[in-house]
Amino acid sequence: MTPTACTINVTVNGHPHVAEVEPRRLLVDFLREDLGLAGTHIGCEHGVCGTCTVLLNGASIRSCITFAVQADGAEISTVEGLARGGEMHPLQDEFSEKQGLQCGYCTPGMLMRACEILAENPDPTPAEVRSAIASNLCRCTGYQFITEAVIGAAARMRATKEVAS
Amino acid sequence: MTRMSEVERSPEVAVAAPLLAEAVGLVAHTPVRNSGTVGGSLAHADPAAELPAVALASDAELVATGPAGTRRIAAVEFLTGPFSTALAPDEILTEIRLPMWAGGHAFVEFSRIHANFAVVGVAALIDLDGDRIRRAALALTGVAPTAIRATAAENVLAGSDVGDMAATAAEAAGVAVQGLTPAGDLHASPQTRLALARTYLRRGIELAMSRARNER
Amino acid sequence: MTTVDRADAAPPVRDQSAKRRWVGQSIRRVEDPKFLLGRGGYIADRITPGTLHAAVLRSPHAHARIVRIEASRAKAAPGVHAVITGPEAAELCNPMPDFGPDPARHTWRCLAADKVRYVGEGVAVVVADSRYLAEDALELIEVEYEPLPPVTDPVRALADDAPLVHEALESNCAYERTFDFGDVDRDFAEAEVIVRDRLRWHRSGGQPLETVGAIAEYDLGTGSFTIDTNTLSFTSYLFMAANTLKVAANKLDIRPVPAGGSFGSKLFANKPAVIAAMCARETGRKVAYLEDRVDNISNCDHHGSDRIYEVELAMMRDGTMRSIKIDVIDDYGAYIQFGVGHHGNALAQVVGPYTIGSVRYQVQAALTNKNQQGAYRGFGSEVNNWMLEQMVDKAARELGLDPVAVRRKNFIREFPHFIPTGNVYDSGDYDRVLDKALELADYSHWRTEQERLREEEGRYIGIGLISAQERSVFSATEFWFWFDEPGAPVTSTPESVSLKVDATGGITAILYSCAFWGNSPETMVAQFVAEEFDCSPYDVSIVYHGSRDGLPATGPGGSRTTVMLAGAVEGAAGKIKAKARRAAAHLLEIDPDDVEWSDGGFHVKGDPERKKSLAEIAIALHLFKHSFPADMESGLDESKVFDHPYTTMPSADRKDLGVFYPFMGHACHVPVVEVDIETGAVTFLHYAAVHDCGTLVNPRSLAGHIVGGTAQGIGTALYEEFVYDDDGQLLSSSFLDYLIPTATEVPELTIGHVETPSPYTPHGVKGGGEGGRMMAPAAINVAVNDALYPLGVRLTELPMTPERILSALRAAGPIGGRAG
Repeated sequence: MTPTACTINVTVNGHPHVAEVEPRRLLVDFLREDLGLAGTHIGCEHGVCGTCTVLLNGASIRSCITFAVQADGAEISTVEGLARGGEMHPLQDEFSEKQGLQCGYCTPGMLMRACEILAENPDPTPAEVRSAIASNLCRCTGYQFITEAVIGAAARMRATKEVAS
Repeated sequence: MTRMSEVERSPEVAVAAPLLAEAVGLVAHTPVRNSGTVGGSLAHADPAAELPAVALASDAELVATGPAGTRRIAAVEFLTGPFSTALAPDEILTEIRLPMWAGGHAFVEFSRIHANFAVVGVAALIDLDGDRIRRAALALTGVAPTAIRATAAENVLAGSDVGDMAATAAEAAGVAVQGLTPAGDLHASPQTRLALARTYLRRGIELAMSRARNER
Repeated sequence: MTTVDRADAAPPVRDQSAKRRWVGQSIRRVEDPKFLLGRGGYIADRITPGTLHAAVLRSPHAHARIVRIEASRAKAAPGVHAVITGPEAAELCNPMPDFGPDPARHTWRCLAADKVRYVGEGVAVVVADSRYLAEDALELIEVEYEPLPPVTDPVRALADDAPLVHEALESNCAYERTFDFGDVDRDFAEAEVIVRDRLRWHRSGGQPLETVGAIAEYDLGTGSFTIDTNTLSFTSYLFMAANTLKVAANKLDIRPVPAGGSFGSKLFANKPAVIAAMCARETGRKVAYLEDRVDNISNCDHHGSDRIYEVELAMMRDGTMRSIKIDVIDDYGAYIQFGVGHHGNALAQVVGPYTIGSVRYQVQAALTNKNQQGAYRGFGSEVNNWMLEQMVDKAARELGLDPVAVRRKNFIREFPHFIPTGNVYDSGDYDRVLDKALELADYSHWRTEQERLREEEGRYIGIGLISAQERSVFSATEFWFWFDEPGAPVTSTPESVSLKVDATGGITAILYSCAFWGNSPETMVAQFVAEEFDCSPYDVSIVYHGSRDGLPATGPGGSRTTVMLAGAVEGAAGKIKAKARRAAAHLLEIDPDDVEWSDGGFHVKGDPERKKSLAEIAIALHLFKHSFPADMESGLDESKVFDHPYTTMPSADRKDLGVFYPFMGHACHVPVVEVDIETGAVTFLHYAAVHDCGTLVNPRSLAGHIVGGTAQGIGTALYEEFVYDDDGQLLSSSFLDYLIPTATEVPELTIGHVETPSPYTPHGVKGGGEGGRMMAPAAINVAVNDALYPLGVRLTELPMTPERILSALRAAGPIGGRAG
């Protein structure tokens, strides 16, 4: 009944972890319960809503339908890794400024998806943002202020990049 | 183990198998395509899925590998029923071989909301010879226990003049849905499914035709 | 009509002209940083090591007698600490709290004891070391069912030979009554045209992304429960939950944690808390029960309205509306926890913004083999808005009148205005809202475009203009005025706030019945406190207090939180300032009447330099007792229990229901849609929404609610439906089939605000949390019908799925020249 545990090596937000997990253990439970990173939420449990979205080697995935063992050897990024040195990430700050959240439950997944969107396209149009965030459900905001926040963050991130280069 | 998002972004696939590229872009959304594989979708054989229709329309060969070795299975024989394939329990899908198609392509589908399963989907390939259709391949999802080829409609298209694209496409679409008996579900009754299939066949054929023209 | 003395009952009219510094500013929400950092502290985030997990076994049958449950294999499974079956739970717990018409005859329990009444109803719970092990053990429980014929159609359920959902009730009709408000027969006799229709609204629900959950602990030493949960409301009624758990009310502490959305669906949602608490007492351990998605979709007790209407609207040929007869059957599912309060909501604004003189309202509540109704954003008033606007729209068509002109012709323009049911509309300016909406919608442009696109391109564009009401701040009377001799004719729905000023002048506000739901109670309170004390809203600390040793409070629901918290803050602040005034005057050695408040402190009138700031007053009051007269207590903290500011009692004959939903917002929505007549798909080309919720507190937050509520309304209009088949199977039991709009289904809204202050509330604020969903379904239905009008098609059933649109088009016959 109790399946044999497997050893996995995972880097989460830059920190390496070695862990023993059951093969059936879901990545989201591993992150939340085993590593204590409760910012990644569980919404629908079948990959539709996107509240559990994390980045695996930079690509967004549903951690509620991914086994922890599938992350062996991978780098995982979660919402807890966004703010650096006490400073919010521009996406977080713009979500606050534009009120791109109400209950906040979809927000971590939405932020991680937005990271991937802006990594692929640093200057998206509002229509492109809408199309891309349609992977993630938000039941509160109607997506309008989320779209505004992602556009706002993109502009700030581009400006920062220009200053840096 | 090729992820759908790799296929979606591949410039090579876009040139060599544009139908596959277009269809992959319609599979759910990016996070699913970042995890899901092309082979996985084919082996899963969901009757609503896009890629089995692409395989059928393209006359793909699917390469299965097991303890007894490797064999090639034609797409039309691979899909045996809803969620079932010709793969033996000890075989896995290791390769998908798509012949190149010179003409126009289209994958169009109707889903109720973004990224939801398609109610119906249409894969269309049209190859022109001047103003006549030299060859057409059509496959449908959502109207039968598996994705199916619409051979009778292909025969209507083959040899026909593309001068009146709309009429030709409409005629072929009408032929394609004849005799189909799709099951209904909470999203669409059999009647609605047929009506949607007919509309999307027509739209898919027209799009493939116009692309075939523009590519000349 | 029997009337209650109206003028005397109104609260004093306030002067709302004051300049405000913080109220009205779109400041960043004070709630947000923790959520953005992934440190929200939702219920699932609070499970500590060693906590046991509960999982519930659900019925696969819509209607069946439970013959036998065998749980010994499950009890012996690895990691399992307890299995409690339905019959065992019935021994451990009393029935669930129930405000329904006759609870003893339709008994509702946390787990089904004798028979199951819908697919998904819980029959047993397993408690194990992990959720994985608990779910493993669920598969080892053997339940022998004797299937009974189900009834899922409400009309069929009301037939004499229908299978009975509750045998003790001897009928599936839980409630039936006809009310007359005003002289309906006279108005109908005098009317020139009667517009009739049958309308069908199918059930949908809030479906927040976070389900309901609770973590419970039982202290054997004190015999008391502590339950953390994401639902806390009606703290005055929590003795009922205590009774369910067979514990004294003062031995039960329910503590709120942030909720990942509710939209009504976490209102008084005590079942998961009861299950967790029962398991905690049985195992002697801390137990978490978190619904999974299937639990929540099938068993949340918060499905929305499910109505069939037969309506007659009495009109004059010039477009004057005279009277309306509404006959409604509402499918409540297997239980009826809130009675027909949803129809109280409808009666609060039953005539919309129009001067309709009389109303006949017949309601029948049917019980069927479905999950029961609860609360969903609008609580039944949104359905009334939809019904009324479809009727008005149909009337305009039948009379050949302009739909804008018909509405404008009947607008109420004098306030306060009492509608035939007895409820009051406190204030409003419906013309201004309409004018602004027409402008933002570019209405005349789209009318021209509509014509052009149809003629030139064969495209079907529809413009859906509706004007409707947005009631706020319910009174308790709407739950019992249904009965001549109500069992519990309660009248209290207060909200309480304590303000504590510490020795440094820092202010902490304590809230008593607010599980944060995605609304902004902290931001609202912080803005009100900042307005009172001239501090920064970000310097205000907010505490959510649990149910035990708290003050009476009701919590969010019926768009009441902002208004009620404003009143409570105002009251507590007034008390703080009264004491601070006396203290300041004493310190300044002057009469209290000779100081006045400005810029964060009291100064001597005419001499702003002689001043004591709140911090100076606070430190003196906290630390220097002997600086003050003997009767002044140390410290500076006060509480206010703010009762509903405007409730009047219904008349004995129920021809006048009194004032029960007085702060009446208003809105006009104008969606422009395109209907693909080949596929039945509906897409938005434009969407304008203008709302008047009185004085705005945080315009951006309200706009967020308007967009979010509209998105849910789009779901209601086009996508979302809990579909039960004839066998009572729930076909839409996941988000793959229960379709929630994504960012590509929701258009960008053009939002306008009009501010007509309420004369009766602090700052003139009205509630606005539900408005989007109260308007959008009506507006989108009108828009789709506008698009299809040239084809002779009118949709009368929501959601307008491709199936329903194509069926209607097929029924209308072949359309000339249309390709297949």
